[in-house]
Amino acid sequence: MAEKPDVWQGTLALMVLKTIEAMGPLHGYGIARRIEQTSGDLLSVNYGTLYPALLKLEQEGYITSEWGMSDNNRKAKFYSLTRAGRKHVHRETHDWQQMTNIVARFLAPGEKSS
Amino acid sequence: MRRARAWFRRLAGVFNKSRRDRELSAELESHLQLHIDDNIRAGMSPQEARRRAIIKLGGIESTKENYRDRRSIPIIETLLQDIRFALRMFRKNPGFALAVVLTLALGIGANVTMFSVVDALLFRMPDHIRAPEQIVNVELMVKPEAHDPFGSEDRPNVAFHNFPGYLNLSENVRTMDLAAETSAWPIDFGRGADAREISVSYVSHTYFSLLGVQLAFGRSFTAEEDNPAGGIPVVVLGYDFWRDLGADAQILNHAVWIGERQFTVIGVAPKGFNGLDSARLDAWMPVSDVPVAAGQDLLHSKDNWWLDTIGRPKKGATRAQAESEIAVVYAGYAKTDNGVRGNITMQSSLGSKVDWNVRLTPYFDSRTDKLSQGARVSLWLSAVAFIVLLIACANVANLFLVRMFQRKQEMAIRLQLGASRGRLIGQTLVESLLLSSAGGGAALLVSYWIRPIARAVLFAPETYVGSFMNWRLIALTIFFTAIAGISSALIPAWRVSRSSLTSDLKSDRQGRSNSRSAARATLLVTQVALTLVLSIGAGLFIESLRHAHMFDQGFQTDRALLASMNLGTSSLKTAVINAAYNTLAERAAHTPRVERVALAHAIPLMGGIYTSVGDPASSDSAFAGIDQVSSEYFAALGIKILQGRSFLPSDRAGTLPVVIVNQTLARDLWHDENPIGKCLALRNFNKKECHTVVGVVPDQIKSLAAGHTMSRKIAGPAFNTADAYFPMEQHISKDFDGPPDGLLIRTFGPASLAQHDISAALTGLAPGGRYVSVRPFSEIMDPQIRPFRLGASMFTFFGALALLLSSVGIYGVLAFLVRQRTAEIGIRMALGALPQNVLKLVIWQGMKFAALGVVIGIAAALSLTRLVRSLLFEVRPTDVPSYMTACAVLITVALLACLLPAWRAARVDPATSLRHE
Repeated sequence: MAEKPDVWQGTLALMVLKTIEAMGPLHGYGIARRIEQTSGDLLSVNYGTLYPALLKLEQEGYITSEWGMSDNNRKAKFYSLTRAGRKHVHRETHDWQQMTNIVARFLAPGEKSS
Repeated sequence: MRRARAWFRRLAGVFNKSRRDRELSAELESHLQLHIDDNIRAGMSPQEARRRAIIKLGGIESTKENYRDRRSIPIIETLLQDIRFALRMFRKNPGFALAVVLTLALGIGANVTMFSVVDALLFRMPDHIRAPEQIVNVELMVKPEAHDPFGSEDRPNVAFHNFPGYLNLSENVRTMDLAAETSAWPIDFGRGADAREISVSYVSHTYFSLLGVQLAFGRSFTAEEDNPAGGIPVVVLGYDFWRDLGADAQILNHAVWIGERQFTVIGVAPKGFNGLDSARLDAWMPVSDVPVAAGQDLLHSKDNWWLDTIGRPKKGATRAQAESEIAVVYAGYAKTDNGVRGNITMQSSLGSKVDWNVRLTPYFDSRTDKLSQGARVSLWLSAVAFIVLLIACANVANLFLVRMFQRKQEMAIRLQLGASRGRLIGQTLVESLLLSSAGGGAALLVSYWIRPIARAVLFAPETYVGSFMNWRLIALTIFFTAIAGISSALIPAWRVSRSSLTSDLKSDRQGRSNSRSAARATLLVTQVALTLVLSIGAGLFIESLRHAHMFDQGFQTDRALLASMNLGTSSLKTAVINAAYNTLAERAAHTPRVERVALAHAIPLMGGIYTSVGDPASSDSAFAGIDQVSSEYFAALGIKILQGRSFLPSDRAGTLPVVIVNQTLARDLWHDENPIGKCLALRNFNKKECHTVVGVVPDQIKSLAAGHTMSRKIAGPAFNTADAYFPMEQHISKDFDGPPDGLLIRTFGPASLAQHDISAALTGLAPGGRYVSVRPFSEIMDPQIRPFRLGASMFTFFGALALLLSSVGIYGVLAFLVRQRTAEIGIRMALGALPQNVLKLVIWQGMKFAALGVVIGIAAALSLTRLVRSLLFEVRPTDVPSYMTACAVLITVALLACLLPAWRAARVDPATSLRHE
């Protein structure tokens, strides 16, 4: 995809947050796997790019991390949303939807407003 | 807000690096494990599972790098890394680090010390004064007449004010607050065994409030106390003086003897306040309490000019407005005084009308005009200190170059591995700045310790110098440290940026590139040249000091003391004072170690009375100093009688009036004729009386330093006046009747040794227990010699410092070059060269630098020393012996510095050196 890096980072962050919101506390591998699935395998995520993004979200205070046990009894670091993170997700989602609506109007075949 | 929070987290991330690294590794490891488990569950083999998981994760190293970059602030990380690396390098090579720090500490320390001196002398505003930049000096400018020996036509003199003039100003000027003050006057304090001499200033009651000074306790004078019609004698003591007296908190309302009266203490000034100048003041008294000698009326007479007037423009008034108002007020005053219209003209002390003018100059700016000799020398010394810093930096740059060369392989490898040149240069800068910071810190310490020594050498003992640490000093230290650090790193950094990888990687330590040698050679030659300039300067100043010491005053100062009582303003009758001095003379004559005593009216080096004299037989006149002395005078001062005889006890009242003249007077009045037997008369007093000349003595020099800037009509460095000496017993005119001014004492052996005994013998002999001051002439002369001694000692110190630094520099570079050429030397010796040849080779290499440096240094010195001509005493700036001595010293030092490396080179074993890589 010919996206600019910062836009990509921004969308990646949103996808991560949405994933955690939907799935609850999840480890890095799980998040990556889930994003791939959700995007219908259209996105080929280099899993390594996830970790700097997770760090940034943690530094900004939207998620927190904690070591815990996975289903297979593997030690893993789990990430969960903070309250600020939850608010951020809702706001970002709303903004995205607004933007897609506006862009859609431009891209739709011309309709005379009546 | 979020970004700030993120930034702080990143800052924190700088600090717990290893823990985070471990955590990330653990997380990535766990990620891989989870993925592998999934893959295995999906049916892959363990190896395949692992392989796919790793591929999918992407480059682990690049992930880690991105993570790290995100986690902390990369620039700070880099900096910390560089610092840690530099510290490790210093630990491995402590000699290098120590050499650099020491060199820089000396160079920076010298500059910091000089700056604190110059700062105290020139820039520091006195403490406790409110808004000192507003204070102005009300200056009366007067153009001197043609034959005034104390001025020149093109430079107007600044005159004092008289008291009625000040009063007139203070009553009529609306735009300024005004106050009167005197400079520091010496006066006696106390009675009996605790009597001493102190330094006081007489000020108007507006003085303290004009300056805005808050007294430590007590109060300052009221207008009633400063009333010329009869004020109440009160005094404000200086803080240090109050402490000397015992720091009695109850001192208020106590009475103390000052001069001839008792004064009530009403206040103590704050610590560090010494009026407007830097000399220590012990007390302030109302100006109307100024001690008056008989016949003087300082407070009412318009002919006594003795006050300074200072002012502060009131709110809303500018200095220009105030200046014009004062000019108008003063013109009005002059008119009523002399009835002269038009220009302000008044009587001068020499009896004729001169042109006057009034102007306001800021008190504290004009300090640069009034630069004392000591201040001027200090400024020069600052420049010298800067040169020393340059030499130090050159040394350090060379040290860095050498070290760079030793590390060139390491540098090449790092470049190969991907480090950018910028990074390497940054690392060099970090190293150099670390070292120079250590040097700067050490310099502050060194300067703190040296400061008392510098103070003792540079300043008159009574000068008050404020505290050491102030923000200006610290800012300057940082500035010098930065200069030192950056300049020392420049050349090596440039070297790094130009290094060629392939040649450096070769383990060949014997390559020599032209640019590198050129840099090194230039540095070394510059060092030598600068050092030579400093050494020549030191030589000139030492010579100057020697001349000043040896200068023939016309009398022997090292065995002479002066005992005096400050009785000029007392109400004691002349007969009483005469008797007192006779008692002192008697007692002193019987004190051990005293050879002779004599009384005199005018004391050498301490001013005198001048009047017009001439031969009644002709109309020629000369302006001569008049002294009345006892018959032992010339013997007591060790003055040779050149012609005729000295005074005898038979030259008394009633016998033939006689006089002894000095060579200048004899030449002025009688040219080449024999003056013995001629007549001398005072033109303005007792005109007809003929005093027969019975002897001729050499000229006495009145002042060393003053002679420098004196009237150009008088050639030579000192001021020769014509002098005439009369016997004290013979009465020349009633205008000259009066008690003697002092007792001259000649000792066996140095005067300073006998000072204590004589002082103890004479204490308490003055009427009423007044203070008797006993001082060797060397002490009286000292303020005049001090600037020359100052120049000599400081230049010598800096010259020695520069020599030390340069010799270390030469040694270092040579040692390095020898090591570099070890293989070559080994080959030469294997081919049959003798140790002496090798010795000569190395020494020649070193001396090449020295020789070139000497040549350049001489050229530089020839052009630069001209600038200090005014600071030298009877020494030409091109004084050949000084130059030759300095060159000899430098060449010797350079030779010595070459010897050790040369000797090491000569001992090289050809076999080992050839294997040596």
